[in-house]
Amino acid sequence: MTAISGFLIYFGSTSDRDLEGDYFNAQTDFDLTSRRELSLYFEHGMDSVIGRRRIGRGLITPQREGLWIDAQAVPELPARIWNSLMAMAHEGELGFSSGAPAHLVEREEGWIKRWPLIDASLTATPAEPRCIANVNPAKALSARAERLQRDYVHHLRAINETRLWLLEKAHAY
Amino acid sequence: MEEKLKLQTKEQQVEVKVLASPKTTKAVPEDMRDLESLDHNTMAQWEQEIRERRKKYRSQITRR
Repeated sequence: MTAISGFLIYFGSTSDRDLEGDYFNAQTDFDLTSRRELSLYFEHGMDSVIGRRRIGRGLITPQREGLWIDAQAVPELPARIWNSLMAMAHEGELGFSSGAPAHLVEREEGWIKRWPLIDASLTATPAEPRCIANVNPAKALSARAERLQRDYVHHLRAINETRLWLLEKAHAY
Repeated sequence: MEEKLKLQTKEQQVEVKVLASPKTTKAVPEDMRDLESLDHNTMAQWEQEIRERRKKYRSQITRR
Protein backbone atom coordinates (compact mmCIF):
# COMPACT_ATOMS: atom_id res chain seq x y z
CA MET A 1 0.00 0.00 0.00
CA THR A 2 1.04 3.56 -0.63
CA ALA A 3 2.56 5.65 2.16
CA ILE A 4 1.56 9.20 2.98
CA SER A 5 3.72 12.01 4.35
CA GLY A 6 3.59 15.67 5.27
CA PHE A 7 3.73 18.12 8.13
CA LEU A 8 1.59 17.07 11.04
CA ILE A 9 2.52 20.30 12.87
CA TYR A 10 3.61 23.48 11.13
CA PHE A 11 5.30 26.08 13.30
CA GLY A 12 3.85 29.57 13.24
CA SER A 13 4.16 32.79 15.22
CA THR A 14 2.03 35.60 16.66
CA SER A 15 1.62 36.91 13.11
CA ASP A 16 1.28 33.48 11.47
CA ARG A 17 -1.57 31.57 13.10
CA ASP A 18 -3.74 28.66 12.01
CA LEU A 19 -7.44 28.89 11.09
CA GLU A 20 -8.38 28.74 14.77
CA GLY A 21 -6.04 31.57 15.69
CA ASP A 22 -3.50 29.33 17.46
CA TYR A 23 0.11 28.59 16.68
CA PHE A 24 2.80 26.10 17.64
CA ASN A 25 6.50 26.82 17.68
CA ALA A 26 9.72 24.95 18.43
CA GLN A 27 9.24 25.64 22.17
CA THR A 28 5.89 23.83 22.29
CA ASP A 29 6.04 20.71 24.46
CA PHE A 30 4.71 17.84 22.30
CA ASP A 31 5.62 15.22 24.90
CA LEU A 32 7.30 13.12 22.21
CA THR A 33 8.50 9.74 23.38
CA SER A 34 11.60 8.12 21.95
CA ARG A 35 9.42 5.85 19.75
CA ARG A 36 7.85 8.86 18.05
CA GLU A 37 5.10 6.63 16.67
CA LEU A 38 1.48 7.74 16.42
CA SER A 39 -1.67 5.97 15.33
CA LEU A 40 -3.33 7.43 12.25
CA TYR A 41 -7.09 8.01 12.14
CA PHE A 42 -9.44 9.68 9.70
CA GLU A 43 -11.09 12.90 10.87
CA HIS A 44 -9.97 12.15 14.46
CA GLY A 45 -12.31 9.15 14.57
CA MET A 46 -15.39 11.23 13.77
CA ASP A 47 -15.94 10.13 10.18
CA SER A 48 -19.36 8.54 9.65
CA VAL A 49 -17.97 5.53 7.75
CA ILE A 50 -14.52 4.83 9.22
CA GLY A 51 -15.35 5.93 12.75
CA ARG A 52 -12.75 5.28 15.46
CA ARG A 53 -10.91 2.57 13.56
CA ARG A 54 -7.17 3.03 13.34
CA ILE A 55 -6.27 3.34 9.65
CA GLY A 56 -2.49 3.57 9.88
CA ARG A 57 0.62 4.23 11.88
CA GLY A 58 3.01 7.10 11.48
CA LEU A 59 6.52 8.05 12.50
CA ILE A 60 7.29 11.62 13.57
CA THR A 61 10.46 13.44 12.55
CA PRO A 62 11.11 16.91 14.03
CA GLN A 63 12.19 19.42 11.40
CA ARG A 64 12.98 23.15 11.36
CA GLU A 65 9.48 24.03 10.05
CA GLY A 66 7.52 21.64 12.26
CA LEU A 67 6.88 17.95 12.87
CA TRP A 68 6.89 15.70 9.81
CA ILE A 69 4.97 12.44 9.64
CA ASP A 70 5.46 9.39 7.42
CA ALA A 71 2.46 7.07 7.71
CA GLN A 72 1.34 3.76 6.30
CA ALA A 73 -1.91 1.82 6.44
CA VAL A 74 -2.40 -0.84 9.10
CA PRO A 75 -2.49 -4.25 7.34
CA GLU A 76 -6.05 -5.01 8.48
CA LEU A 77 -7.52 -1.92 6.79
CA PRO A 78 -9.35 -2.91 3.59
CA ALA A 79 -7.26 -1.76 0.61
CA ARG A 80 -10.26 -0.08 -1.07
CA ILE A 81 -10.61 2.37 1.85
CA TRP A 82 -6.92 3.26 1.88
CA ASN A 83 -6.79 3.51 -1.92
CA SER A 84 -9.76 5.83 -1.90
CA LEU A 85 -8.08 8.08 0.69
CA MET A 86 -4.83 8.01 -1.28
CA ALA A 87 -6.66 9.02 -4.45
CA MET A 88 -8.11 12.02 -2.63
CA ALA A 89 -4.71 12.88 -1.15
CA HIS A 90 -3.15 12.62 -4.60
CA GLU A 91 -5.65 15.25 -5.77
CA GLY A 92 -4.60 17.52 -2.88
CA GLU A 93 -7.87 17.05 -0.98
CA LEU A 94 -6.46 15.85 2.35
CA GLY A 95 -4.21 17.21 5.04
CA PHE A 96 -2.90 16.19 8.46
CA SER A 97 -4.21 17.20 11.85
CA SER A 98 -2.92 16.30 15.30
CA GLY A 99 -4.84 15.51 18.45
CA ALA A 100 -4.00 16.10 22.12
CA PRO A 101 -5.99 15.37 25.31
CA ALA A 102 -7.82 18.62 26.19
CA HIS A 103 -7.09 18.39 29.92
CA LEU A 104 -3.32 18.46 29.26
CA VAL A 105 -3.25 21.25 26.69
CA GLU A 106 -1.90 24.66 27.73
CA ARG A 107 -2.33 27.87 25.74
CA GLU A 108 -0.92 31.37 26.26
CA GLU A 109 -2.58 34.00 24.10
CA GLY A 110 -2.87 31.67 21.13
CA TRP A 111 0.56 30.12 21.53
CA ILE A 112 0.13 26.44 22.24
CA LYS A 113 2.61 25.90 25.03
CA ARG A 114 1.80 22.24 25.69
CA TRP A 115 0.24 19.79 23.19
CA PRO A 116 0.91 16.16 24.17
CA LEU A 117 0.43 14.38 20.84
CA ILE A 118 -1.96 11.48 21.08
CA ASP A 119 -3.07 10.93 17.49
CA ALA A 120 -2.52 11.96 13.92
CA SER A 121 -5.40 12.20 11.51
CA LEU A 122 -5.98 12.58 7.84
CA THR A 123 -8.61 15.23 7.33
CA ALA A 124 -10.27 17.26 4.61
CA THR A 125 -10.27 20.30 6.92
CA PRO A 126 -6.91 20.77 8.67
CA ALA A 127 -6.61 23.77 11.00
CA GLU A 128 -3.25 24.46 9.37
CA PRO A 129 -3.59 24.48 5.54
CA ARG A 130 0.16 23.92 5.13
CA CYS A 131 -0.17 20.46 6.67
CA ILE A 132 -0.74 18.87 3.26
CA ALA A 133 -0.88 15.08 2.95
CA ASN A 134 1.37 13.88 0.11
CA VAL A 135 1.19 10.42 -1.38
CA ASN A 136 4.67 8.97 -1.15
CA PRO A 137 5.33 6.01 -3.50
CA ALA A 138 9.06 5.76 -2.67
CA LYS A 139 8.34 5.19 1.03
CA ALA A 140 5.71 2.65 0.08
CA LEU A 141 8.17 0.71 -2.05
CA SER A 142 10.75 0.53 0.72
CA ALA A 143 8.02 -0.48 3.19
CA ARG A 144 6.87 -3.19 0.77
CA ALA A 145 10.45 -4.46 0.43
CA GLU A 146 10.73 -4.65 4.23
CA ARG A 147 7.41 -6.49 4.46
CA LEU A 148 8.42 -8.97 1.75
CA GLN A 149 11.68 -9.60 3.56
CA ARG A 150 9.80 -10.23 6.82
CA ASP A 151 7.38 -12.60 5.04
CA TYR A 152 10.32 -14.39 3.41
CA VAL A 153 12.02 -14.96 6.77
CA HIS A 154 8.70 -16.10 8.25
CA HIS A 155 8.21 -18.67 5.46
CA LEU A 156 11.81 -19.86 5.70
CA ARG A 157 11.25 -20.53 9.41
CA ALA A 158 8.03 -22.40 8.64
CA ILE A 159 9.80 -24.55 6.03
CA ASN A 160 12.66 -25.21 8.44
CA GLU A 161 10.25 -26.25 11.20
CA THR A 162 8.43 -28.57 8.80
CA ARG A 163 11.74 -30.13 7.69
CA LEU A 164 12.75 -30.73 11.32
CA TRP A 165 9.36 -32.26 12.01
CA LEU A 166 9.75 -34.55 8.97
CA LEU A 167 13.24 -35.59 10.11
CA GLU A 168 11.95 -36.41 13.59
CA LYS A 169 9.15 -38.50 12.11
CA ALA A 170 11.58 -40.26 9.75
CA HIS A 171 13.84 -41.12 12.71
CA ALA A 172 10.84 -42.49 14.59
CA TYR A 173 10.48 -45.11 11.88
CA MET B 1 3.41 -54.34 3.92
CA GLU B 2 1.78 -53.18 7.09
CA GLU B 3 4.84 -51.08 7.82
CA LYS B 4 4.68 -49.47 4.38
CA LEU B 5 1.00 -48.72 4.72
CA LYS B 6 1.60 -47.01 8.01
CA LEU B 7 4.34 -44.94 6.42
CA GLN B 8 2.09 -43.91 3.59
CA THR B 9 -0.53 -42.87 6.08
CA LYS B 10 2.06 -40.83 7.94
CA GLU B 11 3.21 -39.28 4.69
CA GLN B 12 -0.32 -38.17 3.98
CA GLN B 13 -0.45 -36.55 7.40
CA VAL B 14 2.85 -34.87 6.65
CA GLU B 15 1.49 -33.55 3.39
CA VAL B 16 -1.56 -32.14 5.13
CA LYS B 17 0.61 -30.45 7.75
CA VAL B 18 2.89 -28.92 5.11
CA LEU B 19 -0.06 -27.58 3.19
CA ALA B 20 -1.71 -26.20 6.29
CA SER B 21 1.36 -24.47 7.73
CA PRO B 22 1.93 -21.39 5.55
CA LYS B 23 -0.71 -18.81 6.43
CA THR B 24 -0.99 -16.87 3.22
CA THR B 25 -4.63 -15.82 3.37
CA LYS B 26 -5.27 -12.46 5.04
CA ALA B 27 -8.13 -12.65 7.51
CA VAL B 28 -10.23 -9.50 7.77
CA PRO B 29 -10.72 -8.56 11.45
CA GLU B 30 -14.29 -8.33 12.66
CA ASP B 31 -14.34 -4.55 13.09
CA MET B 32 -13.10 -4.07 9.51
CA ARG B 33 -15.60 -6.44 7.87
CA ASP B 34 -18.28 -3.83 7.33
CA LEU B 35 -15.72 -1.57 5.64
CA GLU B 36 -14.68 -4.47 3.41
CA SER B 37 -18.27 -5.06 2.36
CA LEU B 38 -19.35 -1.45 1.75
CA ASP B 39 -21.37 -1.22 -1.44
CA HIS B 40 -20.34 0.97 -4.34
CA ASN B 41 -23.03 3.61 -3.71
CA THR B 42 -22.12 4.07 -0.04
CA MET B 43 -18.44 4.42 -0.96
CA ALA B 44 -19.25 6.97 -3.67
CA GLN B 45 -21.49 8.94 -1.27
CA TRP B 46 -18.80 8.89 1.40
CA GLU B 47 -16.18 10.21 -1.02
CA GLN B 48 -18.61 12.88 -2.21
CA GLU B 49 -19.22 14.07 1.37
CA ILE B 50 -15.48 14.40 1.96
CA ARG B 51 -15.05 16.36 -1.26
CA GLU B 52 -17.94 18.67 -0.27
CA ARG B 53 -16.34 19.34 3.11
CA ARG B 54 -13.10 20.09 1.34
CA LYS B 55 -14.83 22.47 -1.07
CA LYS B 56 -16.33 24.48 1.80
CA TYR B 57 -12.95 24.48 3.54
CA ARG B 58 -11.19 25.79 0.43
CA SER B 59 -13.66 28.67 0.12
CA GLN B 60 -13.12 29.45 3.84
CA ILE B 61 -9.34 29.65 3.29
CA THR B 62 -9.74 31.81 0.20
CA ARG B 63 -11.87 34.30 2.15
CA ARG B 64 -9.16 34.77 4.78
